[in-house]
Amino acid sequence: METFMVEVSDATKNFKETTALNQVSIKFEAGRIHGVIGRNGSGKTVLFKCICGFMQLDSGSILVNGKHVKPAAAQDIGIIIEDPGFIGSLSGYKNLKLLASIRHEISDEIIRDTLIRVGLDPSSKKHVRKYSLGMRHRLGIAQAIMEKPKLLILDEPMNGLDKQGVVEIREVLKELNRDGITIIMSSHYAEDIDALCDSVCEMDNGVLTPIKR
Amino acid sequence: MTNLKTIWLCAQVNFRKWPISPRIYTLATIIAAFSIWVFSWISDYAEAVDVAVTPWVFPFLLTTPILFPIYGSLTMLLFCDAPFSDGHTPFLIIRTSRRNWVIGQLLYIVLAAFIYSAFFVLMSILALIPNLQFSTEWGAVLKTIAFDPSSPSKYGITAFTIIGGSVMNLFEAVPATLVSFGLFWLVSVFIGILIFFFNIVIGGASGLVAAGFFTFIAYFSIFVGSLSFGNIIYYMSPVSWAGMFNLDWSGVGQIPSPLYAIGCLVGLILLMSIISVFVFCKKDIHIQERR
Repeated sequence: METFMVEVSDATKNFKETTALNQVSIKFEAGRIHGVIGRNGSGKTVLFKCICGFMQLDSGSILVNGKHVKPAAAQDIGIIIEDPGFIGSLSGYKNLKLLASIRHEISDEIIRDTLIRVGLDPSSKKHVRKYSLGMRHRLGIAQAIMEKPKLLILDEPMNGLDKQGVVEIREVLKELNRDGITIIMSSHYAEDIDALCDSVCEMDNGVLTPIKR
Repeated sequence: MTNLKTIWLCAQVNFRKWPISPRIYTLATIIAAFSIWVFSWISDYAEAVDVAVTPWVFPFLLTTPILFPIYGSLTMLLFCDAPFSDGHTPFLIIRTSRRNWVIGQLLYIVLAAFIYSAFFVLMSILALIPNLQFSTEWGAVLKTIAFDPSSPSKYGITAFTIIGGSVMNLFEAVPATLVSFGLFWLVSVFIGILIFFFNIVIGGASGLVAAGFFTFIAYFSIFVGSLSFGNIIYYMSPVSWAGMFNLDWSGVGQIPSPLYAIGCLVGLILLMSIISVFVFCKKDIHIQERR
């Protein structure tokens, strides 16, 4: 029997005169990688924000792991939404350590391993403000995956990465998926979607349509 | 992790952003320059009369009307981007919950206002160097200026603040400084929470508009407010209460009593904080880049 990590039913979200989500209904199966494509402003990020509880639907519902999304609650979701920001005066390792101290679920060793996994040096003292865009994105991915959440929501995770970086991060995402983590991601690059995703849907003017592959 | 630890962590994150914030350095520089501008004449006078001055000049910081808009603007600069969300915020909120995060921001305002007020006190003392001596008394220099305000002009020195004798009659130097510090802190918290409240509930730059309005009222009330609106204007100008001279310490009743001022400030701070937390937990989160 199929189990669903995220179930979106008749989700509608309006901003003044713009409809960002127009009665979107979709089920994202657990343990798979799902791609959402669409041009800028089509409603992908709004859908992701609603799944994370950062935005509230005007109507409809979203279940994550069988539970209704509560906007005020902490969630077991790893995220990258829009440009990841960090504390510029700290190193990458210290930034992750600070975030990890909230849930207190992982050791320093896991933080170091995660940084190595995304191609960053855990012993580097370099402050994040001196990181390149690509390094920031790698760090963003590291913070999303370090606690091995059941669900990863990644909005344009390959932004700013060079070709080698893209290949490395694809491998990381595949490994995480093999460990049973569900990934929902968006990307402007068709190759990312082709290489990674088990299912794909397209968002256009707030309407989500599954694409048969 | 307990809620308190999480809340403290959310507040702490904002302080960790200070070392690379141009706004904080700008603010510190302006406060230092402002303190020198307001108080260095006392040091000049001390040098002229060859008697060192004691450090307790802070109670006389907000004694002239023009200093209120400057104080209000500096406080607005500190808290203008409340509720302090940026690209880092989603990573915190997803782990801590919205409620813990937003309470963390309120705690940050309280602590940042404390540091801000303490920095003002420190700068008011440093502005007196090199003619400074430590004593727990008001000292001869301040008392002379208070009871003979024309004395600096005899040495060609222009006074930028009023060294008021009324406070000296009622308070010893250290208690007066502590009371002034407490009021300054409380009003700074009020301005911070006011910006936070309006930015969350209404959005846009409404927080700055509201803080600007109250700062203007403080300036206006001292200049012509009572002529147009009677004494009631003093009761509706919370920013004025940052200076202890604008409170009625002797029970005459024409201006607000300390109890009224503190009660109003604490009540408004609590009310706006509660509404802000409630609204933030329900509202969409929009992330903006901090400067």
